[in-house]
Amino acid sequence: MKYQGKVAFRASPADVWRIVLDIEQFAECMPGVRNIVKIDDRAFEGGMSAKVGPVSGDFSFRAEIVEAEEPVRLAARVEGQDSLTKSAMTASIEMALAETDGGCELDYASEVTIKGRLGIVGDMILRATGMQVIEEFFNRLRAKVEADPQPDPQETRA
Amino acid sequence: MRYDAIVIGGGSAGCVAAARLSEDPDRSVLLLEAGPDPQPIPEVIASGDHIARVVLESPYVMLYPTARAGDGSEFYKISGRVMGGGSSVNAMAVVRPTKRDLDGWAALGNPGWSFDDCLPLLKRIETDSDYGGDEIHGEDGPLYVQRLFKVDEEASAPVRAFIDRALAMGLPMCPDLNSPNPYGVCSSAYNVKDGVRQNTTVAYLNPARGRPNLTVEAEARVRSLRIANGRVSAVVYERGGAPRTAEADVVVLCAGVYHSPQILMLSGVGPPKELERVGVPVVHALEGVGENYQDHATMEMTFEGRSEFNPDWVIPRFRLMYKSDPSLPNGDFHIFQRPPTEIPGLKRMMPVSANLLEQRDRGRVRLVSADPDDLPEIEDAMLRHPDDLKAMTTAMEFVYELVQHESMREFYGPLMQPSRDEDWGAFARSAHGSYHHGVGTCKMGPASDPMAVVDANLRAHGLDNLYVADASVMPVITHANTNVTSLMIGERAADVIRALVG
Ligand SMILES: Cc1cc2nc3c(=O)[nH]c(=O)nc-3n(C[C@H](O)[C@H](O)[C@H](O)COP(=O)(O)OP(=O)(O)OC[C@H]3O[C@@H](n4cnc5c(N)ncnc54)[C@H](O)[C@@H]3O)c2cc1C
Repeated sequence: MKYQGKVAFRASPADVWRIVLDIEQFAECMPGVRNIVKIDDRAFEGGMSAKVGPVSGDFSFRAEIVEAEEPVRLAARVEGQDSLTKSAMTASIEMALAETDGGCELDYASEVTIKGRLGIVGDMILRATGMQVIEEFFNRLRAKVEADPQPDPQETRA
Repeated sequence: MRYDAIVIGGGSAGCVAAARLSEDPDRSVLLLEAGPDPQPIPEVIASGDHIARVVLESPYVMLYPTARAGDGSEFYKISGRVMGGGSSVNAMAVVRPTKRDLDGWAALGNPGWSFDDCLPLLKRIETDSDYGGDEIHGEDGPLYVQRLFKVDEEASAPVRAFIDRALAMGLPMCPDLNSPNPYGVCSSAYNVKDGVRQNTTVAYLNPARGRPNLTVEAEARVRSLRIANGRVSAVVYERGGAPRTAEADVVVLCAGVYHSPQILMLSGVGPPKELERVGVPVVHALEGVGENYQDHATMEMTFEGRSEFNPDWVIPRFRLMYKSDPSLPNGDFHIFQRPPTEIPGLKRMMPVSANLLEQRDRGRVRLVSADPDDLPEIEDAMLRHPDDLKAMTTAMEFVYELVQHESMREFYGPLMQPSRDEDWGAFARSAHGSYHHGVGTCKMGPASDPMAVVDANLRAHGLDNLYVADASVMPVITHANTNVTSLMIGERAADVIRALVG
């Protein structure tokens, strides 16, 4: 499953970067996620629960930033497993930030692979879930970034 | 050991064949099943309420990673690996082949397979608690059949709205999906009795187990058939880690659409080029083994869910038999509501699935090596043909139009996947799944058809005492789920062997 898109922010790349790189804030942008445990500055673990018809399951994962080129490019990797079918999920996420007139634009591309029986419940549901997580992630990120702009370092210096 | 008959695979068709053949106390029958034979059937199989659990959680399914013909992305085909086979893990819908399906098989040069010829078999399989005893339904067969929901009875609000909307769009009421040419809003029958799955273990095998002439060996995996002078001389299998052989006058191969061709090819019966490719010596050339593979493609249109979850939704107890082209003589889609998925923090997702009941291109099942431990490889062809893809996108548009109507707004929100502005054809090619109705890999047909593997008596062309009787022999996929058709094939195999072999 592949996802890609662009999101515009009324904030500088540095503002977006600061929140994305702050593991606690990043985790807060993830909808449905609970039991977040910070491993170190680059990784955290968490869980999600889901109910498909009468069947419920928990999903635990570890998210890690694997590459960061401040403040323009970031690559992250998520690996997880669900409690019910023990299917394995891996997601690679790439984000690139570029300055625009009114702020900045974030380009993202993500590829999600699911190995195991979870795949049987239907790609469509997993796709729709992925899409919702991404949309909601950026909504929350935008809310955080735009509510909390840091003073421009240039101005501070001046 | 020597038997009168060996049945390989205790699945949907195999349990039927073994039970029927052992009715005659003078015929000794050995049933070999690769999976376990838990008795009584465990709750995860038995439960008529939690059909998803057996597929998601139990050790009784086999997964076959498969590449989509559209974009090479991976999805899964599955089968049951336990006594009862597919009938132990499936969704329990009892959907008969249509009249056109069976008449079509007969027209391909298979005498005895027209609807009228098969009707006595379809009737003798079932005890239909709703229509049993009328002209076309059975009243005293081993398989208990019931319509869990009738389309004209009271239903939960979202189900009622869905039905009313379909009727308003011009579909007729169809009280019985098991009529010869069903079309419209159809009540569907299920093989569940008092909440318990009626798989072929329960319906056929259990009542036969006490027979001294029936030997059942579970966790007995057949590796190959030994063939000499145009006959199967022995069945080579493995049980408890030890190699074994058994001999019989008649061998009935019922290992299903993926494993019947696998066993044939491992025995040197198949397309010579394919066998040579993996280093299996050719014993008997049959070009059609593993070819002609067909399945039903599934798309789920995912809408935002509005109403509270209602358990009534879990099983598609009714389905729309829809025509993607009004000029078609028969319905080519099953369309039904799916249960919602709930994830805290996200919008509820409520899919409606569209299942294409035909496939124009053919895929195949191939060996990856000469090792029986390797799963066969599936080359899938669902939605490869442009007309199949067009039918699918037409059905997707229909679902969209059905659901995005003010009468449905209380229950279904906007479409989430696919999005309205993307190319639905491209989306379908990369996101479709399987309705899990694989058939066709040991095609039945006359000797004049070079791709036929068995004749109209289910006997392998050129191999005297070998019969194939399971979903693999269907020459063309039915416009129906495939379980009861597989049972029918098991019934026919027993009849033919009784008549031809005695
Ligand atoms: C998840 C799912 C849901 C489905 N839902 C429905 C439904 O609701 N209604 C419907 O009509 N159809 C449904 N189907 C399809 C239907 O169940 C199958 O078409 C049917 O079971 C096929 O029967 P068969 O006898 O051809 O093969 P199977 O039932 O698969 O039997 C083959 C048997 O052979 C055994 N075997 C395999 N290899 C070997 C070997 N080497 N040695 C010994 N034994 C071997 C297997 O373990 C198995 O028991 C569903 C299928 C699945 C997988």
